[in-house]
Formats: sequence, C-alpha cells, structure tokens
Amino acid sequence: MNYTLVIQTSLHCPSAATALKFAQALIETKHNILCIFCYGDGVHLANGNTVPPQDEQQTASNWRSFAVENNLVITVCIAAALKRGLLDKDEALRYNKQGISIEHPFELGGLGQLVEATANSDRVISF
Amino acid sequence: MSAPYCVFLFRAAPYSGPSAQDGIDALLAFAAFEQPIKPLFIGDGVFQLAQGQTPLDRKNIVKMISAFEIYDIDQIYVHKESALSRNLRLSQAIGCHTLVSHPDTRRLIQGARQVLSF
Repeated sequence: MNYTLVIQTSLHCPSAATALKFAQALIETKHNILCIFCYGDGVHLANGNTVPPQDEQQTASNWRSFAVENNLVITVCIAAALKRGLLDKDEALRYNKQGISIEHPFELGGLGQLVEATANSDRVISF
Repeated sequence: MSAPYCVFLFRAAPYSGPSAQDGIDALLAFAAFEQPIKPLFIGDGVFQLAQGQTPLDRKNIVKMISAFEIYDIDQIYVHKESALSRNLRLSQAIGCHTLVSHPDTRRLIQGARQVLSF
C-alpha cells in the first residue's frame, strides 16, 4: 500500500522516534512510502544542526540516515520551517540569514504536496 | 452513497500551541484543491468554536473557521460529548454545524477515505 506520514511533533516528543520506527516497519513489510511530510513542530526533524548529548536519542540524525539509506526525500513545509528559523541555502540567501539548517534528504515544500500525496495514498498516518 | 471525503480531526485547544492554526491552514490548502473535507472538532478541539474569543496579537481561530463556507465546506462536525463535558458555548459566527454523538462520530471517521489529525 502507499503510505503518507505526517509528522507534527517536535524532536523531543517520543512520537518523532515512534514515527521513524513505523517508517522502518513499512519498509520492512514492503509497503511504499509515498511521502513523509513534516508540518508544524515536526519541521525540527529536518534540522541538520542539532547536537544532542551522546547518551540521548539521536532522532534527527536517525531520520536523516533512514531517508538516505532508503533513497527517500522528506518534505518539510516551508511556511512552518521559516517561522521556526529552519532554512535551506536558497531561503537563507533570500532572507539574508546566517544559518542553513535544511539540506538533502530534506526538502522544503508546500501543503500542495501534502494534498497530492494524500490523494494518491491508501493510508495517511499522522504523528 | 456520498463522495469520498477526508476527515480533519481538530483535537487541540485554539491558542495552546500551533496545531489549531496549522490544522486550519492545511484544511484550507485541501479545500483550495477542491478535496471534500469534513472537519470534526473533538476533545479540547471544541474550544476552537467557543464564543467570545478575543486573542491578542494572533489570528482569531473562530473567525477563520467561520470562513470555511467560502471554501465550500458547508458543514462542520462537533463531538457532542466533548462539547457538553466542557460546558461549551458555541460561537454564533460559525456556520452550519452538527453535534455528533459518539457512535455517529465513529461512523463519520470510519467512512472517511483519509483521516488527518491536528
């Protein structure tokens, strides 16, 4: 089945890690992940600049590794990301900001992509 | 029977965090693409429909909800038990709404093609 995952909880909520376990299970059971959409506080997943303590969950980098290993792009809502100070190279240039925190496999996108993914998915799971 | 629809579950109180606003923004994006939507307010989400909201320096949630009709969302659903247990006074501004009992809420959700939760 085609799945879309919508992640709205920040890195420190357990559901950000649960969502990853769910995504891994989808791969293992041969389902197709059509779209992973980070919305609201979920955009923090895409922050490449997090430095959690070594003995704590490495949620952001675990997500990054998962996406790279499985050749997936994780879509990050641009409006939600910008207002939280998460920018990619283009947006940092556009708004003249210093910090670039979003890079591949994360890509800024819009709600229109969520609409399309929802229309083409058998299941949409919100975290 | 009826056309396939998405249920948007609104579970968060209006100004407690970003979820209420985010949910409404997402709903409007779906509506702009003419996707049939049934918004369902449940749990603390029913507070989004409360009378007398006067937020300072932020968008008024109930005003945004009252504009749903413009996007052809002509019916909103309110989980009856959530509204009653919170002694909720619904805003006059919201359009057509239906109080749904618990079994009807279950049927509404089960009949949806997709469910998005905010």
